Amino acid sequence: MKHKAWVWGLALSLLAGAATADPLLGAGAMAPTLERALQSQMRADRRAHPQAWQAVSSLQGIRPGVYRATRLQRPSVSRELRALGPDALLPMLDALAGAGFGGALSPAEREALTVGMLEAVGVLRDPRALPVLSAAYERASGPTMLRAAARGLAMSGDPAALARVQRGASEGELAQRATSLAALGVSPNPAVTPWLVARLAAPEPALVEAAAAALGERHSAWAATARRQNDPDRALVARSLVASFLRADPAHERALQTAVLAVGGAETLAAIDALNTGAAPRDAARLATLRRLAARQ
Amino acid sequence: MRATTSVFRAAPRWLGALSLLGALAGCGDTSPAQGGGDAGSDAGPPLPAFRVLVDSNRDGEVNDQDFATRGAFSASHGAVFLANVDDDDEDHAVDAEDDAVNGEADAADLARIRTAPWPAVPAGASGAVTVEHQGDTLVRLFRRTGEGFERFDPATMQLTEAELRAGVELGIESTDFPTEAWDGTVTVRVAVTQASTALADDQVTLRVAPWVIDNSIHQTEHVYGPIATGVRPAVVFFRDLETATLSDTMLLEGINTLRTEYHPNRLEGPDVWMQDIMEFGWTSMPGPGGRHAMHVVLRSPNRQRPMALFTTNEYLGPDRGYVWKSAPARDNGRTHDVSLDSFGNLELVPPYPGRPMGRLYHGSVTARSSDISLRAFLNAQGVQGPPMLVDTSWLTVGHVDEFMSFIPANTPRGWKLLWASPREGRALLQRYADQGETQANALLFEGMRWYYPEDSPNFGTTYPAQRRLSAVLADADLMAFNQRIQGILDGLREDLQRETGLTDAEIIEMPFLFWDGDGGGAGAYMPGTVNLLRYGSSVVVARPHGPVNADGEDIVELDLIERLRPDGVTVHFAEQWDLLHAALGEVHCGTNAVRVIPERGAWWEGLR
Repeated sequence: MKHKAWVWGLALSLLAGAATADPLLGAGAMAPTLERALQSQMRADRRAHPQAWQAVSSLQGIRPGVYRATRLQRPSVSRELRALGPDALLPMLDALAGAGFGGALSPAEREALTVGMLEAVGVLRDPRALPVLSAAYERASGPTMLRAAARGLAMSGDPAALARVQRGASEGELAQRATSLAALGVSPNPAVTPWLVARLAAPEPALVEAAAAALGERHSAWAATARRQNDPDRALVARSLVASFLRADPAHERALQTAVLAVGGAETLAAIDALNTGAAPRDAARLATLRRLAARQ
Repeated sequence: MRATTSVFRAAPRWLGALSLLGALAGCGDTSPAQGGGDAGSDAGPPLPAFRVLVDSNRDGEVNDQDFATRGAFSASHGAVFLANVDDDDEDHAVDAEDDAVNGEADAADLARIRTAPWPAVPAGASGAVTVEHQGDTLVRLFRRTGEGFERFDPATMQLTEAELRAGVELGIESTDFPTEAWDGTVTVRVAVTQASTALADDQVTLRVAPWVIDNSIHQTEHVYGPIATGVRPAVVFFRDLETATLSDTMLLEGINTLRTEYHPNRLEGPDVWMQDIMEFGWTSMPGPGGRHAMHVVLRSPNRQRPMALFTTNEYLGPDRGYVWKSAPARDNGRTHDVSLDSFGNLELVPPYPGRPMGRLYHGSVTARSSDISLRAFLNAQGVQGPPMLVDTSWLTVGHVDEFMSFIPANTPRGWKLLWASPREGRALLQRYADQGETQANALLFEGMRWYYPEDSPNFGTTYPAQRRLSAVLADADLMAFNQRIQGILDGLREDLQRETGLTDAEIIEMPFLFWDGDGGGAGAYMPGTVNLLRYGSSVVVARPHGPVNADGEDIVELDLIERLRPDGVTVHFAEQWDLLHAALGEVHCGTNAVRVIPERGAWWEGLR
């Protein structure tokens, strides 16, 4: 009986959720021509993939009855949306910048839904999502939304999108620059690596940390093993990161250490050994600790 | 408020002893003002005729042997009293909430203050009592009257000539533990006057005992698990807990999570997070037979958590106290995150050199924080703090039990650290996959589903979790993410080793992979086996659903058994995927344990 009560409750909440809708990114997020073109595709897609549209509209992770029973106790939809795969792209774009998402949402639910959809849209690397991701990037209302949009743009491999994120990493407020910079770790463009390495010389520690995190993400030795590909840039990256680690003050050293360990591999050990030659006693001690940790990997 | 006086049987044996001492030593018509006094011990100075005594030497008795140690509070000396937060009369209210002494057991929770008999007290004398301390915590006095105690209000009441002559016994209790504004010290002063002439004056200091968190490697009294009849994932999990605890003769108590008070909204799933709603600890003072102690449960500050009412509805009772620290939203501010108030995010590093009571650790996130009053409370307790703040900003949920726990070990230190290890998780899977094509194609999480299964109250969209081992190992994004998490974990482990002196040999890495969730936060991808329930020499961990070998054995289970076998630990596996793992938790999150209050190793020995 209790089970049935919950199911009925969920059904009622779904029905209630169909009452109102507005685009998660706000009205006018896309240029009218783009919006019209996308709407045409959406109509066709709704007929072709009704299950995906249904799945997106009945997401569980933003239902209070569900998320309050999780340990997080906050709405969470990113994994759920990513698991829906490519068929969910257009329903998500529709929610973000088209007809919206049905139902009354609390601010926390709306934010989780927006960020989760941007993350899920990004990993699909579909060029149709670029106008929506760009709009989200320009309108980002907080760091998690900015991060999700920037990663989506960077991940796409689109040169214009990459250039936009690089510009965002170079101008504006420091925190937003750092968020954009860190997002470049997922760009498939090899030219991003030397661009990031150059940012390790930035005078702002927050930007150095962000560039280091991005380099750590894109040059992971474990990821290269997974791809069964050599990473010709890893030696350069390892040397650059270890040097940045040595330059870092104590407040920022940990972030650099994490980035060095995120790269790992024999190249990292070699870079540490090379910089240890003739190092001052304090630096030698720091490098010895770093080497011990890197060797565990 | 209830009756202000409660009478019960209690033999005031101390009075006879002190009277005898007074008769032997308090010779004649003397007072300190007049230069007279009692003879001291063979080696000590003479005692003043009027003196106030507390159990300064901590032998459980109040007598003249306490006089010499009434000075500064230290690891070896100083009187202690209790926050009287249990419910000896079982009226579902904390005893200190009223100004009565509710029976013998309640009286036993009062520390005693005594004035030595003063046979030569001048006629017409009276004693004014003052209680001084910082902060606004209410500290109450009671006066023995025959066989009972009555409230003694220093503002309106005085000690009489007869009481001063015979000696008087007071009891003292606090309504709270040390606070941010109060280290727990009180000074009780008695000034004796005759008309307006000062005759004598004496004072003693006491300190209220802190709340001490249970040590997870200590002997276990009983464990808790969630009951949700009709919710199959919960039934399965509790059944596995029963199997494990029965085989170890450990007492398992089920908490009915579907009680209306705990589960008012039937549209929501039950709150099964037994770890997060409460933290068990204790408090103690010296007593006649050794130490006098009570268990005390700390309720989660989260006000939107009806399940936490278990602490008052069912746990509170004789020698089972309760404390709750929760600030209103306006005081907590915009960055308050109620998830960090969960007590899977508050644990204790067991004792190590320099920290005989262990040290608290608490997950800390730069942009978010736990309840401000909880943090102030923990800081104020002193003996196990201040809490070591551990960066958990890299986790989606952000609790410290997601990556570390402890087991007893037959080593000089007596315990080992269990530490989450993507490195070991990846290596374990890779070793198996390298054995051949069949092994590489084995399934991880076979038959399991993410999100909520059909028999869950949260039934809805679900999707298969199972993946071929080769696909997991070839997932570059997953591997890059795990290597970064390993880097973070290695840094945190370095901090902990530096703090505690732990060697690598004292750390057991627990193999499992993480994955990323909303905003890039990490959570356990493979069931987080470090997040466990420990009692005796057993641990209950999440069934890992790893690849199964030709003999039908889960290779992750086999690995865990072998990893912990050298330390004599028996591993029980509990099915909790649907109930806990898919909802961002594991076994520790869904259970709790009350440890035996230690007979040895009093908290005052841990004073720093």
